Amino acid sequence: MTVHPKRSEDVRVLLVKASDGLLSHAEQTTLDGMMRDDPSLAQELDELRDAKDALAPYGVRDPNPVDWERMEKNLVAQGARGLGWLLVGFGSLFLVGAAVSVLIMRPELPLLVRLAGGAIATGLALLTGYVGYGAAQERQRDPYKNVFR
Amino acid sequence: MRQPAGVAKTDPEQSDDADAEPTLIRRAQNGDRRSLAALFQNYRGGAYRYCLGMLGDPQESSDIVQEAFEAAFRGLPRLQFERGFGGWFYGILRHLCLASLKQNKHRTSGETLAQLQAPDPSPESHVADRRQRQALAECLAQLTPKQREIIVLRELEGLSYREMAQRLELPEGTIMSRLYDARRALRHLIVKHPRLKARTPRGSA
Repeated sequence: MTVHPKRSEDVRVLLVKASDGLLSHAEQTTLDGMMRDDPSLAQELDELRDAKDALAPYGVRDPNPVDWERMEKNLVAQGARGLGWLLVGFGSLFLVGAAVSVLIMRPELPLLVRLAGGAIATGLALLTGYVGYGAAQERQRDPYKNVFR
Repeated sequence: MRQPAGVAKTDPEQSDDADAEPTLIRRAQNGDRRSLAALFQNYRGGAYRYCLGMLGDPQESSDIVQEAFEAAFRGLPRLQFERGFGGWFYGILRHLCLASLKQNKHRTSGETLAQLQAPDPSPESHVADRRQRQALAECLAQLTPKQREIIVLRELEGLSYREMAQRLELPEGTIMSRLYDARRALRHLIVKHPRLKARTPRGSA
């Protein structure tokens, strides 16, 4: 590779736009002037065009469409289920929390019943934390655990 | 800008109706299956081609596309509308691709690249084209992730500077400057590659 001095961003931008054929008339005049002062710019422009031309006949291959159908089915079901579970989860936690707090706050109820309510609240909090922590750990270990192959 | 017809330099699945997307997102946030499917269909092609160009591995690419959609759909309730689904989704996808590149050595396949025009049907031409694609894929794999990303988006996906700037959330000047570095690095690799040396007529003085 020919070694060129480090170009300023303005020159790099002009050269890239020139290699893509996107220079305005004013930019073209500026670049022509620069090229007269520094002939190595023309060589550099040719190199940029070479790289562009090498990939010109190609694009990235599209996948088999059957894979999309399967993936879409799984993702959409998961997305829709996800919202359902989220609503059910929050609703249930709220209801249980409200019931337990009513139990605990009523002094006319026997102490044992109130203690049981407190135990349920504590147990729920511990379970939620434990399940959340476990899920986060598992996700960290295997980033593709939900990928359907 | 070159906008070739054919395989993959534009996204034929991308909806032209940009106004429809906020509605789609709102419905998808409420668990509407058709809207989730529409978002998936709008972005899957571009997402897959980006991953395949970056990783060169079809299986890994489809896994990462799925992972990115899962993360995006899970996080839909938190989506900020001003960023749009595309910017947000491609941010997730890009993060996953770069993480995967750091973790794994990917198989570089010439099957990553597809010819835009129908190739010459002769067996000799078929073999030559296959070798050429493999060699180019090897060159792409040797670029740094940032250089490869810019080449994939510009040369293989055919995005404009503005589209690339939106996708990568960078100023257009930075995009062009990176493209300059990436093209020069790619050209250097092509000149050095034993099967591609012959195809650099202009700048090989």
